Amino acid sequence: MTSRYLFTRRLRAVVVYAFLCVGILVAVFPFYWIVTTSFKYSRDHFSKPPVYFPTDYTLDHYDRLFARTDVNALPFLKNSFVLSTFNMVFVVAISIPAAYALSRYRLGGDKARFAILTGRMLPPVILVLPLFLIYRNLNLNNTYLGLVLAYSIFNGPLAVWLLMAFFEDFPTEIIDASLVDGSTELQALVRIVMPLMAPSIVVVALFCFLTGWNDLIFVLTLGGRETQTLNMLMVNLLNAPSNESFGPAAATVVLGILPPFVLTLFMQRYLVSGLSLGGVKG
Amino acid sequence: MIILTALIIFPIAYAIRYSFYDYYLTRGIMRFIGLKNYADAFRDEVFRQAAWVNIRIIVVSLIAEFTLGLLLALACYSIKRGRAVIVALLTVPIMISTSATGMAFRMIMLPEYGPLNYIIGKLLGRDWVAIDWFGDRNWAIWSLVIASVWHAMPFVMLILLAGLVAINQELYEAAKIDGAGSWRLFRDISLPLLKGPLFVAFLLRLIELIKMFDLVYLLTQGGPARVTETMSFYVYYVGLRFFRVGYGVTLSLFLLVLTFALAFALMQITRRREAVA
Repeated sequence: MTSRYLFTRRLRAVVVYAFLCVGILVAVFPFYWIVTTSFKYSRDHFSKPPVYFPTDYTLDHYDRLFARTDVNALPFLKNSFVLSTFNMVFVVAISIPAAYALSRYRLGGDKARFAILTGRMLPPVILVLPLFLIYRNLNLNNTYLGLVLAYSIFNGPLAVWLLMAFFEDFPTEIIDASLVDGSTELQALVRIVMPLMAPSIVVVALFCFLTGWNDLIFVLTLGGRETQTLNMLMVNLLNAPSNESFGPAAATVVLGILPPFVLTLFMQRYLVSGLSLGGVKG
Repeated sequence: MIILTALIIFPIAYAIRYSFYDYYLTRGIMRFIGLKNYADAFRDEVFRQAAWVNIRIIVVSLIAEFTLGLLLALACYSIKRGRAVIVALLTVPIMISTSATGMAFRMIMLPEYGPLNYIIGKLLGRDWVAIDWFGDRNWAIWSLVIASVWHAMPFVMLILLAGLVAINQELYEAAKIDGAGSWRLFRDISLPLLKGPLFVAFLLRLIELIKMFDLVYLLTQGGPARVTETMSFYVYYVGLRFFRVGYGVTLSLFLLVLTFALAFALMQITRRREAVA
């Protein structure tokens, strides 16, 4: 190889790495900013120019969230967890049989698939108003049940969609064999399919948990004083007029980011395959 | 399945009923007005404007997301050392929720204290640029685009990277032996074989962008002077800020029909694609 060839190759590698570094900087910066803001002293929040590398750190903002009385984050945290968990359990419980029936017997054929696709595309805002009115009559506004039902409307189709893709890859011979051995369809599903599909089901469950955790619009409209989630707390803190709430707001965002962060790390491997599979099978 | 269907059908039936009424929650009046809400919706300038906002955001974001996503995916694909770490760092935004993204950009884009204006200033050789990201008519929509591109681009990149990795290496080897340059390799091998992943990513992003609400709520609240109001946000505004419920519900139904039409079109395209493949 000539030296000229080597030189262009090296130059190209440098350009590629430089480009990637810029990309990483952009991708990580907002995250870095939120985290540092949550540890900065309030005086550093409003300085010109901004403080990029704070020298003093403080736990004050977290302290305010938990220890003192003015902002108590615990109920918000509890609500977030309760709502996301209930939503996850409910959706998984109803979507496993649905997806199983749909993929094994092709119930409803294309029409069912179309309905599910539409359900997945539906902007949540469409149902917010009708639900608000219905809940007003049923006294479901500001209750866990109401919110979980609302989440599941949008989570259900997504979960069924993903599970269908997974179920379709499942070899039917195994199910048939167990049916021959005298098990019922339900037993086959519970005893054979579900244990073997456990990893995929866990991934779908985590997706459901995350949608509940990240919801803003429903808790904004259908939630109330008793069902405020972490997302609502951070909105309230950031909209509060005093500059003092800037730090706690950032701290809340960090708290809100943590569970999804851990969960995504855990399921990163499945993320692409799960999502793209769900999309391809039209 | 029945539960799921009921959960969707019931509210929609309710919506249709209320769409015939002039109903203000705050005043407690409920008057039957027939089809007037529908007539209003057809003539509603603001709704049309909101649709236009959606379209502009969709076009610009998709172009940016796919150009950057493809370039980054190619860059990641071409390197040998440290790919796993680099991909993990690039996909940090995926792990952050939309609301947290909104919050982060609220802080970063603060006109006087946020770092963004200082960074842009530095790049232009000045101390600071005076961009009012949320208050300026011309810039407000860009704050939404930037935040949404930042949030979604890694997702596009991941899907495309997975597609690139799946391409058979032998194709490249064969083409190289035939004397193809890297541009030819990209145009005639990578791109055609990436069609599937590109389509999937496009579809998923389109769905998300049509629904766009959270970022609007957090960043601009539709302002200034409604120039950043998306369809979702407008419906929310009519129904739950003005409590003009009857009309809000009618608009919801419009959005519903629109979604149906789009889902149907996508379904057709997918089917044709499968028939070809």
